[in-house]
This record gives sequence, structure tokens and C-alpha cells, in this order.
Amino acid sequence: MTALQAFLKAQKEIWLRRGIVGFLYVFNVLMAAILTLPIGGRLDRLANKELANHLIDGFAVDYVIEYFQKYGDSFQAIIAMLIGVGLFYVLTNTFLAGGILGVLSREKRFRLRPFLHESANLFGRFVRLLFLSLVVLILLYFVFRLAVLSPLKNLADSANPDVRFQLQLLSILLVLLLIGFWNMLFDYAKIAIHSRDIGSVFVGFFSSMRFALRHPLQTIGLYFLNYLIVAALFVLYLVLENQFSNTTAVSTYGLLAVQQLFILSRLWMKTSFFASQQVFYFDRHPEEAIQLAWE
Amino acid sequence: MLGYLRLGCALMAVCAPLAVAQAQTTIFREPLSPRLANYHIRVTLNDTNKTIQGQLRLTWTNPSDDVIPDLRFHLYYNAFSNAKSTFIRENMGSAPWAPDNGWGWMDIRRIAVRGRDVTDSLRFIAPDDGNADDRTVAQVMLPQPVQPRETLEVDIEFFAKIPRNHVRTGWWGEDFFFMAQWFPKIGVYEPPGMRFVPKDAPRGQWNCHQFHANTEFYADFGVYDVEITLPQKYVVATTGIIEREVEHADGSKTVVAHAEDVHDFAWLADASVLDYSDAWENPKTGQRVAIRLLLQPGHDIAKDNYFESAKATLAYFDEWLGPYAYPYPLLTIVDPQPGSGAGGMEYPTLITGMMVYPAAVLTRERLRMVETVTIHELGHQYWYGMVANNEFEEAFLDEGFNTYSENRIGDDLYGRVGSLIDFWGFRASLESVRRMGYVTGEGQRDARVADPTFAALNGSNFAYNKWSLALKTLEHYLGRETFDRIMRIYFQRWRFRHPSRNDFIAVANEVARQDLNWFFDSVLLGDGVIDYGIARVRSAPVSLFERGPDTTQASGADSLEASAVDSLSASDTLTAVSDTAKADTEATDTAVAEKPKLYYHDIVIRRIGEVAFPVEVLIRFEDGTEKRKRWDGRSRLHRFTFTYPSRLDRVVIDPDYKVPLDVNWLNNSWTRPNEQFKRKYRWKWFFWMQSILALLATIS
Ligand SMILES: [Zn+2]
Repeated sequence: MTALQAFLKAQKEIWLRRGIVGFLYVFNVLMAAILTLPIGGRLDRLANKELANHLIDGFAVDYVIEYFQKYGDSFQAIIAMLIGVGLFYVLTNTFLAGGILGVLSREKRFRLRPFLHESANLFGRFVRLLFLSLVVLILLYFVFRLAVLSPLKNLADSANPDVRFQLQLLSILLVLLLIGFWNMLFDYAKIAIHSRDIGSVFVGFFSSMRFALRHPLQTIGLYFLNYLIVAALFVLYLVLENQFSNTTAVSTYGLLAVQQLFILSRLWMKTSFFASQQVFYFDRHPEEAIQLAWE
Repeated sequence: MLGYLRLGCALMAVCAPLAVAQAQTTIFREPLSPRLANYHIRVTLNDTNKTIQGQLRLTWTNPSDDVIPDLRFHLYYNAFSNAKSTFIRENMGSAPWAPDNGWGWMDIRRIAVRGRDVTDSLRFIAPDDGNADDRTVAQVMLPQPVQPRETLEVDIEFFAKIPRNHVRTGWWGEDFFFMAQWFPKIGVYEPPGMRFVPKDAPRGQWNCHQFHANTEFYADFGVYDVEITLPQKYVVATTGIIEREVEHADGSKTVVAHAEDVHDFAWLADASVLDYSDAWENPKTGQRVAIRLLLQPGHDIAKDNYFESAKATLAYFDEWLGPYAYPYPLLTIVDPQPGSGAGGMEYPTLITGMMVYPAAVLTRERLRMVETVTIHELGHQYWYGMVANNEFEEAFLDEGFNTYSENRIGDDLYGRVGSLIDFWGFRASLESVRRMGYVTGEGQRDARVADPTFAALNGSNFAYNKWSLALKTLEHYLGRETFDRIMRIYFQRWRFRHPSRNDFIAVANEVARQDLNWFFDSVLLGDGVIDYGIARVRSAPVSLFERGPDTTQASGADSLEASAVDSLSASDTLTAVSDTAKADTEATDTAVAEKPKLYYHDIVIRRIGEVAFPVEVLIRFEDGTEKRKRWDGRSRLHRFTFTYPSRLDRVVIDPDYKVPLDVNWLNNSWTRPNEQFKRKYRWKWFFWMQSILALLATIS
């Protein structure tokens, strides 16, 4: 099975269990709504100033900075709230990752009970895996900086400006690739822990390393296929956003519809990362895919 | 004054071509300046050791009737000679400088006056702070004092270690040298009556400050003949014009440069730079200014941006300050090596631009870095270069005037709204960025001018931001025509003469034919700010209102600051102006027929800042009728009342943004709540939150 085949098969699998995406979306909306509530009062206080008229047809940088200078302190509470809700959101998503993998591999349709059951089952291990992944990311970054980024920077410093610019872009690209690779390793770790019910996150992590290194082209190809589609969606969104003048109610709600489609598609892609990599993993380890007997 | 200028300039068209073969070029037939300090310098660059060795003959004229016992010189490079110099000490507070092997210094090996060796009498002085470790000012006592109006010759042999590029002078990388403040430079002797030396003072004084962390320069005008010997691989650009280059058998060459009526001389030696030329021509006067651009390889995409913005700026000043405002035959623009720190600086007839990779490539035409820096540095030619005030003491006379000019030219060339940034809906004009700096920056309330600039740590907020906004405010107050007449007369009367702020104020009062001292006293010398705000807006149907004002908050009327007003009005007396009868009869009459319901409007505005400045207040009703009221802004509170058959739509103080010095524009307006705004930003925020959360979740 090639990366592309795995990806396509995964899309079908998600469609059959689209409730997963629906659940993620509802949760995203709820959390974002909580973060939006305290803004209302501030907007009310600004709405009867001329600033409001300026902000309608563009982002007037000078006014906004002035606003934050004068009233920025009151945003500290919102930022604290954002950090709190963000942390809760990350943990909850870590919790739901087990459910996503479980429903995709064991259920024909999305059902809430097994979804949450599987989530709870794996939560402890996945949280530990999250911490491990952060430690690994820091280590990986330092090694990467020493081995790749610093030599590249030295090269750039002595190069002519044209080449320097390209080298700078290259190093940004390489960091993005590194983050992608890291993220991929821990996706497979989750998949392995889930399918083989491994108790130790270290064992899970090393078995995922082994798996990724055994099929480097296919795993990386599959990951970045998903990655590219996310990037394409983002660009598409920016293009669409530019079409809305945002000065009338119709355009505000029109844009909102586009935004919600964008968020939905991002959450779909989040599921697609898990689904396609799990499909690919089971293709290479069919013995672990016994749960898919119904297929 | 214009007469001799025209004559000189007519000649320039002939002189403009570079590398003239004659030994002695004359740029101006008649001197434009007093030419008190004239230099003939021979200098050799050792690019491996990063040193220069030079011989200098200074021909200096005593401008006063004083007998002067000593001479004073700036040795700017010594600011980088050790960590105890005043420059480094002052810098440590904000930005520590780790010079590594980048130290620089300057040694006077021999100095002779009128042919007599006076090297032994040379000593370092620290007139500003008494710092015994500072060696940026040298004094020599003369065996025979300088006689009144005497012209004498000073011969100096000097040797200098070039610092690694810092404050826009020095070496960078292997083969880049930007040379400024690289030779011993005589201070300015100020006779009685000049700048702040009283007319009746018994004698004048040396003005020769140490090099400080926050200062630029001050020097007399003169003629420079400079011969630079260096390896042939270097492309050289200089202040003035390059007369010729002579190649030697040992692989070196000598570049001979000549400049007239300038007060400094800078040069560039860069082995990899590209050399382009173009010219600006004024069809009206026939003037032609050659423009030479030294561009880094790979910066070609910015070439036209440099040339076009320079030409537009030359044209603008010519139109604004008078024909031949830029009298020199050549303008040199240096695009320095990135990282060299040499970008964005002005020297006579030579400026350095700035191109930032990769931002410049990604944001071309949207973030006008190259253009606006070029406009700014070129603008300095008129203020720093020709009006040439003392930058140590009154930096604002240069930077403030120049920033005002830059903002104005930017508006003119690229539009009022997004002259600096116009990027994905983010728009900012040059002026708005300055205003942002002023409003949010430190030192907003400091009376900068009371202290010399070099003592001021946050002086830049005053010099660049506040003063450019103050000039804009004054322009709006007087009208552009009068204001431009002031600027033109100030420029033409004071160029090549080192004016002080008092000279500008005198021109302003004279040309505007009014006493503007109240403005300068409060904005220039005072530490107060301008801030006006809406204190209270109430409107209600007349019938309702008559039952008593406290129960009659009109729907949507702002009560945000009402309590403040109520407490204030207990002690302060409202300047009540009832406009009901006189101003609104007309409008009332027409509207009454169809809409008999009358509204009573009660508007109170407040002076929050200490500085009083006249402001306009726009009052708009829902039927579209607008009223504009002027208020002298003196009292603490001011009240407008109206009876009018339509509800209020908005009240805006300074609706045309004529007072950019107002430190808070947020409190300047009251409008009917904008529902679209709330809707737009509520959903925008919601989406931002959704996106941030979705992004965070990628790690889980
Ligand atoms: Zn400047």
C-alpha cells in the first residue's frame, strides 16, 4: 500500500465515522465561545468611538496600538484565560486521541460510548507520551541546531545576499520539517500503544521510531501529504477571506460560514493524520489489525 | 542670496560629470558658506590591519573678534577606544556593546600650527562630563593665540585603528569600510550673538562636545580635498565629487575627491558593490543632479526604489523650499552590506540607505523601507546638511524637521493612509508610526529642549516624534501656505549658518505675523501634553428633558465619563454656551414641519492635558446635518447645548486629525454604537480563538 492509497482509504474511513469530526468541532466551538465571552464588553465600550468606524474598513495599526497602550492591562485576564483554556483544550484533545484511534479501528460508525471509553483507557499513557514528546522535541531541536542550523547560518553570513535569502528560507523550511517529523513519530507511537496495548510510553516511542525508520519514504510521504493539504487549505482560506469586504452584516456572516468550513476541514485533517497513518500502520502490521474483522 | 546661488548652479550643469581631469575643480563660483574649516587630507587605508594613516592640512579662520588661545578637535574614533569612554558608558545602560576585536582609536602623531610643532601641548579634555578617561576631545594651546579673523594653517599627522562598524562607521566583514568621523575635526568657535552666546558677551566660546551615546555632530562648513590611497579592488564613493582615480604599480590606487560647502566628509570602500548612476533634472530651472547608487549584489530589486524615491524627494524639496534647494551636482546613495550597521545615515551629499532581507523581497511595495529611508536620509541634506544646527544640543532641529518632511513627502508620494505599510489590511502611515511612538513612548512628558540632547536618554522621542508632530500641528494651525512660507524663509535665511531654535521661532513669528511663543513655550519648552476628551453626551426629547436631566439619559448616550464630569462640575464652572438660539434656528425651522419632535442635546468636552490648543468639534445628527464648532480650548470644561429635531449621531473633537499632538484620540469621540463593528470583531475574535485552539491541538 502506498502513502496515497493509505490516505484515500483513510478519507473513506473518516467519512463513515464523521461523528468524530463533528465531536471535535463542537468542542472547538464551545471552547472558543468561552474565550469570546469577555470580549463583548470591551467591544461595547469601543463601539461608540470613532475607532470603531476606522476598524470597520481596515486594521488601523496606530489606533489599535494606542488602545492596547491605554487599556492593554485589562487584557491580561483574557490572556491568562486563553492559557488556561488552551491547556485544557490540549489535554482534552490528548484524551480524545485514544477515542479517535479506537473508533477508527474498532467501530463501524461513530458511537459516543466506545469513543469516550477508549479515550479514558489510553489517557494516562497519552499524557505521559505528551510530556515525553516535549522533552524529545527540545533535545531534537538542540541537536538539529548544532548539526544543521548553525553551519547553515555561518554559510549564510558569508554568502552573498541572494544566496543568504535562500538559505534563510531553507532553514525555516528545515525547522518546519523537523517539527513535522517529530509530530509524526509521536502519532505512530500513539497508534502502536493503542493497537498493541503497550504499557510503557518509551516502548511505544521506540517501536514507532523503528517503524518510521523501516519505511522512511512512505511514512514521511504520507505525513507531508496531509501536511501539504493543511497548508493548501490555509492558503485557500486566505484567498477567500480577501473576497469579503466585511462592512455589511451579510459579508460578516458569509465570512463566518467560510471560517467554520475552514475549521471543520482542519479538524477533518487532524483526524486524517491519525486515520491515514493508522491505515498505513495496519497495512504493514496486519496481525495487529484483528479488530477490523468486520471489514 | 538667491542671486549668487543661481550663478553657481548654472555652472554645475557643466561640472556635473564625474572624474574631471583637472587638478582643481570648482563646484561653486561663489562660496555658498563662510568656509571656515577647509581640509586637505591624504589618507592611506591598510585593509588587512584595518588602519588608516593620514596627513591633514586644515585651513581655519577665526570667525570672531576674539583672541583665541587654543584649538579644539573632535577625535570621534576614541569613543571606541576603551570601555570607559563617555560614549560606551552612556551606551551600557541601554544596549551593552561587546566590541570583541572591534575597538577603534585615533592618535595624533604630530600637530603643527603655522608650521610650529605644538604636539607637546596636546591634551584631552572632557568639557561635558569631566570624564578623565574620555579622549574624544583634544585641545592644543597655541604659542601665539589666533588673532581676530585670522586664517591659520594646522598640519596634523594621524593614525587610526578603524572600529568594527558601530554607529554607522567602521569596517565590516572582509572588504567593506564605511568611513565617517575618521579624521581629527576642529570644533566650532561661536562668536557673541551666535546661537546661545549672548550678543553682549565679552567673548565667544568653543563648542566642541565629547562624543555621546545619543548625539550626532556639529561642524563648520568648508572645502574638502581628500586623496584616498587603497587597494585597487575597492569601489570608492565619497562626499562631494570624485575628480579622478590614479592607479599605482604596487596594486594600489589613489582616489581624489573634492567637496565644497559641506561640514563633513565620509567615504565608502567596498570591494563587491555595484555602481549605478542616474540623474534628476528639473525642467523648470534646468538644474541637473547626478545620482550615484552603490548597490550590494543581489539588491537589484531595490534599484529603482532607490532612484525613484531620491528623484521624487529632490523634486519635492525644490518645489517646497525654493529652486536649487539642493545645490550640489551629485548625490551619492550607499546601500551598505547587510549586517554592517551602516544603513540609514546622512553625511553631506552622501547618504546610506537600508534594505532588509528577506523582508524587502517579501513585502516590496507594501513595506516601503527602502523608499522611506531614502526620503529620510536625503531630507537630512537640507536640514542637517545645509541648515546645519548643532546636533549635540538641538537634535530636534534636524531630526524633527526632517521627520516632518519625510512624513509629508511620504504622504504625497504613497498616499496618506499607508505610506509606510500597506500589507494585508495592515496600514500605517509614516506619521501614524511617529505618533504611535510619541503616544506610547517613554519620555513623552520630558521637556527635552531644556536639556541639551546629549544628556537626554530618551531624547529621540522628543526629537523625532514629538517635534515632527508639533510641526504638523503648527502647519494645520497656520494653514499650509503660511507654514510653508515660514519653512522656506527659515531654510533660505539660515542655511550654511548654524541656527538655534530661537532663530526658527523668530522666523515663525515674523512670517506668521503673530506671536506664536505660546505654542513654542508649551510644546517645545514645556513638559505638558495636549489631550482633549468627550466628558459627557446627553440627548433626550425636550419634553422628557424638562422633567429633570438626571432621569433623561438618551438611549445609547455615553455615560462612561459622566460621573467624572459631575464631580468636576461641582467645583469647576462650566463654560456654558447655549447655541440653541443662534446657531440652530435655521435647521430647526426646516425640519420642524415634518418631524415635530425636538431633542435637547447636552455635550461637555474637557481639556485633560495641561496644554491649551484650539480645537474643532464636529457634531452630527442622525438626519445627516453637521455642525462644526471651534473652541479655544482654554477652560477645563466646555459645554455645547442644542435643541434640534433629530437625534445625535456623533460628536468628534478634532475630526480632521489636525492635532496629532493630542496624546489620546480614543477619548476624542462619541458615536452612536456601531453594531457592524461589534459583529465583525466578535466573530473575528471567535475565529481567532478557534484557530489558536486548533493549532495548539496539533501537538496532542
Ligand atoms: Zn535622521
